[in-house]
Amino acid sequence: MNTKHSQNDVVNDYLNGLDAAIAPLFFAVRECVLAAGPAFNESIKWKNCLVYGTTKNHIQTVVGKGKISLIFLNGVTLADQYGLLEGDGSKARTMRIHSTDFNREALADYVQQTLVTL
Amino acid sequence: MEISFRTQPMDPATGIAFCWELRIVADPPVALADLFIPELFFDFFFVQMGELRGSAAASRTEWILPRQSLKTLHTHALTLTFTTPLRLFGARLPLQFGELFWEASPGANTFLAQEWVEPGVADLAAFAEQVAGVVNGRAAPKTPYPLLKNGLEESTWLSSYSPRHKRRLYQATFGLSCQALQRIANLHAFLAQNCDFDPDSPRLIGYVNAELFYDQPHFNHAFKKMVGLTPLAYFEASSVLQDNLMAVSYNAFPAQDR
Repeated sequence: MNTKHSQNDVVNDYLNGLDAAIAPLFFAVRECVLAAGPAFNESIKWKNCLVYGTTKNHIQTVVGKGKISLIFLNGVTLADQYGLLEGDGSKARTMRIHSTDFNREALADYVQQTLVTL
Repeated sequence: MEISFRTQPMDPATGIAFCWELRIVADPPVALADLFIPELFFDFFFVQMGELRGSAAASRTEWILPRQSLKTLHTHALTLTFTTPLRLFGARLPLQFGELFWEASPGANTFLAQEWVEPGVADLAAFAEQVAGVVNGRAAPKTPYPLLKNGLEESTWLSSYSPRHKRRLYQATFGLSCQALQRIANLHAFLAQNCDFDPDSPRLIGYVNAELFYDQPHFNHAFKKMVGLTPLAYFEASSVLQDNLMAVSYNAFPAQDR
């Protein structure tokens, strides 16, 4: 596993089980999220969603075909100066990431805003 | 706040699904609320350090859990509040444990005080060994043959029994009716799905199991009645411990074995 080890065995099992085709992208996104939000704890919700949370869940990671979707559960409160958040629901907004040269600055900004707007 | 969660797989012959250890350290200390929804598992908790408080919105009651306790099957959600620093051990026991539990009918929605392990147990491996010794050493089948086969499928030997007799057997064994068990299974059939949202429309309706729920209102009603929250509010709610327990259970035990 070419990424930071988690304190959570369930998360490690999940990371170890990722498909080789998506793992590098997943690890890059995870590294960016944890660097921007060191206060986050990771856990697995549902059967296969990595969730970043503090005293409540904030970001849900969903692995799709060739992409990672980050669902900001209270994303409607985020100021989206990069225009990368999708969705028109009453609360959640989604950032979809297709390659490892994704906009790290934008993701870090969303993550930090998420932690500020707790 | 640092949270670590360790698991220890168990041999199926022990009758234990798996054992786990949760540690939470926070500076300054905090009280962390964890939502627990109904599941088809019994859970044994051993609070070695810290305190665990339970509260149920349905009954508006709050209590402090004994150091060692067995959580029976629940039909409604409850909140467990952890104080830090916390060191909590646990063993997850499959539904079949209800058939082997040595005490009288456990009843639903309760925590039973137990003495299964030494208070000074050193680590997860030692905890698992002690729990396996107790579960295997004290097992006392309530009926000559198991009531259930895989999942919730009823054993054929029950076919000659009257519905009333079967209801009594279910209540005496699991503390719940067959229908209540099925409702919990339906909830988890929804939650245990692989989550691969459609790229353009990540809507809940795409995941409502058509064979279990008539439509989304039916699903929403059933979900809220059991969980106490709407599905979306539930996904946002923190559940550090149960999320991990559910993830391990979903991946280790296919639906037909749960």
